[in-house]
Amino acid sequence: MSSRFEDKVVVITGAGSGIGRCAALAFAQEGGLVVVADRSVEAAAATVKLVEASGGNAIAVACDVTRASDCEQAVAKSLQLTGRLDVLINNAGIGHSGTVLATDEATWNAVMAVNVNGTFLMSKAALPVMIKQGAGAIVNTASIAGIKALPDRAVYCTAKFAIVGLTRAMALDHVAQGIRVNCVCPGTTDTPWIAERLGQATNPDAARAALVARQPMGRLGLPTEIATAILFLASDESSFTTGAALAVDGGFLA
Amino acid sequence: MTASDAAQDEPRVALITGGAKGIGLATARLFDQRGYRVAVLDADEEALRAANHTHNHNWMLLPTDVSSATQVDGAVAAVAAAWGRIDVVVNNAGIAFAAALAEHSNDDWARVFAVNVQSAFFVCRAALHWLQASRGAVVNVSSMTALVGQPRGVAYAASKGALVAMTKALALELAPAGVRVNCVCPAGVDTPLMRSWAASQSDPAAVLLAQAQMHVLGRMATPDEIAGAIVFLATPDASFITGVILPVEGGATLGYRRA
Repeated sequence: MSSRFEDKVVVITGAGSGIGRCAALAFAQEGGLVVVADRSVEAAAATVKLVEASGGNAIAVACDVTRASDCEQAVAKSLQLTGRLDVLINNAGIGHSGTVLATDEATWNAVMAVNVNGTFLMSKAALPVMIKQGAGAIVNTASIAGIKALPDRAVYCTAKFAIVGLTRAMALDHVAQGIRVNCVCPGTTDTPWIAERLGQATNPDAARAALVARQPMGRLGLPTEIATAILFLASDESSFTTGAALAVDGGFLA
Repeated sequence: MTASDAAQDEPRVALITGGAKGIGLATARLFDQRGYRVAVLDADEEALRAANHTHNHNWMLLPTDVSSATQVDGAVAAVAAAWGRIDVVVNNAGIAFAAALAEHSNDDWARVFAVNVQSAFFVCRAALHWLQASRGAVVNVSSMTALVGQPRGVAYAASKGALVAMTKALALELAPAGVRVNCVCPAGVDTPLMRSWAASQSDPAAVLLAQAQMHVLGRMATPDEIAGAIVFLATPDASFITGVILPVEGGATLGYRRA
């Protein structure tokens, strides 16, 4: 087994489920000390149990990324492990289907708060530590909807485009301090969120078939396949890559 | 090595064009470290001998002019005959050419396209059967010049742009067969090609300094840093990534915007 992250402290937001949970398992498998941050402490604890069952090390931290104090606390708890914070994965996100007309203001604010403000607030809390270290890697989870507009996803596209923009801005601002900032843009991935969306469709099987039909590879992505790309961008293998938006989408954007 | 690599009993085979020097050689070394069998196609026989001598690996070293379809067909057939599979093709062979538009001859244009673009077409076509059989991957080595342009580089930038378009077209065509096709776009990399391009300029030292400063990191990439991205895209770690144009450019394009 390779150990690209031996004894490195890796903070992952939204790690209580889906892509974040898969990333937590993958980082831990390569020796990382994983801080599983999630607004649901139960979900975070469940991920920690899975990590420990696979022989890895992780701690759970309750963290609502829309609250600056939660983000600061998550960073403080991370620093108790080794005194370092090597990798930050801003993965927490929520979605909403609807045009502008079908999006109420509270929903708009909530989606922007978790996706965009959350990335901003966690980065703001973690960057001073990384700057002091003179090293760090941040990987944000954007989306294909951050590169190309999708119909009926007004606020989601807005939030994910913002994450791509913030990724590039932070990459430029902090490159001289030894910090790389990149993002992954997953395509349609088999996550609990997609399952929930399909479950609400009048014909879930047909809805899934429609999602698969638009994929050049003829299938949805797996959370593990997004996680391997996140690990690449967080590792020294990508030491000359910063400000990149890496699509992991089975060819959707090709 | 990832678990998914190790799960295969028989070593995978990576074929790298222009693999005797620079990015190609770094890529060949990294595949070798990951347990792949490595086949290197290169027109520079001296560099091939040096690679063999320096690394003393069990690589297939095939003197090949990749702008010749006949030679490419022969080399690919030799690799397949020896090892029975081809899992990865890295279309890395390329030449630099820097001149103002008026100074581009017809032959200059044709030569740049033959080596930088046609070669990738020839190699992909020759290896297609094997890539389909292995559900393998292609990585094309383009350049940031494809995305942002470069003065005195009309043929070079256009050839690299062609590789970007070829990547996307092939990614769509081959996705149903499980073959992934991606592309890396380096900016300045400290390679023999970079050194020879700099030497062709009026003030080589100033050109190399400008190359270093173009990146917000303040330096050019090492070949190993480009190889890391190529190998990632070629291996099962990138199993859901296809049709991607990945900049590996140390923030160079961010730097353009800063200026």
